[in-house]
Amino acid sequence: MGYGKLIGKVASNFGKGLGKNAFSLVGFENGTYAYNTANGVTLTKTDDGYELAQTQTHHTIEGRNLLREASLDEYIKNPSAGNNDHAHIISLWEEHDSKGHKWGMAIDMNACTGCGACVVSCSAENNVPVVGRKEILNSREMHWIRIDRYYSFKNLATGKPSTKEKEYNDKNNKIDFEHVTVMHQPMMCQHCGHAPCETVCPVLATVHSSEGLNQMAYNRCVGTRYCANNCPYKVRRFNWFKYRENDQFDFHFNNDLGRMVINPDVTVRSRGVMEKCSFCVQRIQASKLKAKIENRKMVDGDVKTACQQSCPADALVFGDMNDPNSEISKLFKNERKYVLLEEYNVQPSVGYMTKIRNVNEPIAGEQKAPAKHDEKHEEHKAAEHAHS
Amino acid sequence: MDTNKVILGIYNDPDHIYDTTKKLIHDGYRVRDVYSPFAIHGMDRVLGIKRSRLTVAAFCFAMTGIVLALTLQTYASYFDWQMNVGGKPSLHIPTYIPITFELAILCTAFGMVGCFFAVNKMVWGKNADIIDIRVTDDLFVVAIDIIPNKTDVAELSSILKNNGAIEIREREFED
Repeated sequence: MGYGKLIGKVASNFGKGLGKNAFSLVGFENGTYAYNTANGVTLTKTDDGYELAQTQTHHTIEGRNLLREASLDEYIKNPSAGNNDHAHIISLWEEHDSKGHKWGMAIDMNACTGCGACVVSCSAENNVPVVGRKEILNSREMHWIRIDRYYSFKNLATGKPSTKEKEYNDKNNKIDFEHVTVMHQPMMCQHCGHAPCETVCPVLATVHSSEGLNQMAYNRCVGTRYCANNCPYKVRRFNWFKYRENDQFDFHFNNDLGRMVINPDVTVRSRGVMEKCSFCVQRIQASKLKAKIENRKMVDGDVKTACQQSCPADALVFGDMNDPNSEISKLFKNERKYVLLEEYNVQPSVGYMTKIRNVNEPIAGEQKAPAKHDEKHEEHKAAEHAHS
Repeated sequence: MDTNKVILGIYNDPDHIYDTTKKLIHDGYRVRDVYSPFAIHGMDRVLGIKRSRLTVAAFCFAMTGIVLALTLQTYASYFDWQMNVGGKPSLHIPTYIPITFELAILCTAFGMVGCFFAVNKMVWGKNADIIDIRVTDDLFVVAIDIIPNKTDVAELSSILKNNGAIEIREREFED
């Protein structure tokens, strides 16, 4: 209900009047809240509807399989259970040199609880604008990182997990909606080595840096949005409006005090350009300069991205993949590591760790030969996709 | 040209001027040109006009464009400033094709227009020297060189007249 905010935040009326307070419907009995007693309140059903502004249904992945999971038993038998159905990859061209740093990130899906702290810290670090209810309804939120949520319920007839909305709507299926299995997947720009977004940009506004970062040149971007269309992970965000000094978006970028919160190290983007996760490139550059001033080489852990810094579960690890002793290099050698949509050969710089569940029944099932890599997972796990 | 003077036979029927021209050339007169409001079919063959060499010029201009485009792109994206776009190689001719094609077309179009102007000595401020203002409307003119001491103007006039000329007059070119 949005708690029914009565006052706005400092220096702007952001939030004021949003939502409705539903606590007047809650009774207080025997020292505890009682949700089933109405103290003098009568509820009447009306025909009115209210559209909920939510981002959960945005950025559909079209049923492609992004998840790998296995049960503890399977993991003990085979540490790479659930993720060793690798695609047979061939490259059409020679790889570019990757001397020096090569930045990458590892995300442990076992550790992620889906709390959303990374989303908040990323928005604060990278001056991600608040777009408001109307634009959320238009699927135009600007978050650089999101947490995808995937649900599966047990089909009581077959005993198998059921993940598709179609199956839920089918009345013949008996599905146990009381016990939900959730998987959280933080999703941001994968900084692909063979980035599909880069090849379609007609003005070279997004190219690769020598350190493996997928960079945006905002001044060069003309807003064709081809890159966002070609991104298989749907992580690019387009500035449909000027979100600062604009009365239409009277949020924290619209007054002097609010703008003092803007991070001076990060460009405030204007209308008509594309933006996305930069792996906190401003922090990388700052760390490089710091190391240079201190006349030393960069060491592992010098750079921490905003999302990594704020993750309470340490699910995100950022580092130099070219440094064999870095934490990320070790994680990338871990049997649980896999990359999303490996079969596209976009070579993401972000690796995910297979989720291991402490359950008895097998989840990953038998390992399949590479040739048939995607059928089983499509069927079982391509889940109703959601986003927090 | 050894003469500036021409005799003009003015006709109002394209068939008549076609036959006259054919006869005059057969008889050994030097026909300078035939002027007409529209293209008369077969007249170029009668006058012995050779196939235009503009196509050769066009080919040369296209080649210039291709070489220019490939040089530019190879220099810019390989020798001068390499960029990693989606992991693709910097020196890769197939990716240069769109710009190469466009530049070839551009050079050919501008080159041919420039070439046409140059060959026809068309410059800014030059006025058209129209042989007879009526050829821009509905009449046809054949111009025959009068070579001094050789061309029999009286005989030529009678040939023109007998073949349907509605008017015959002499004219002098300024150059």
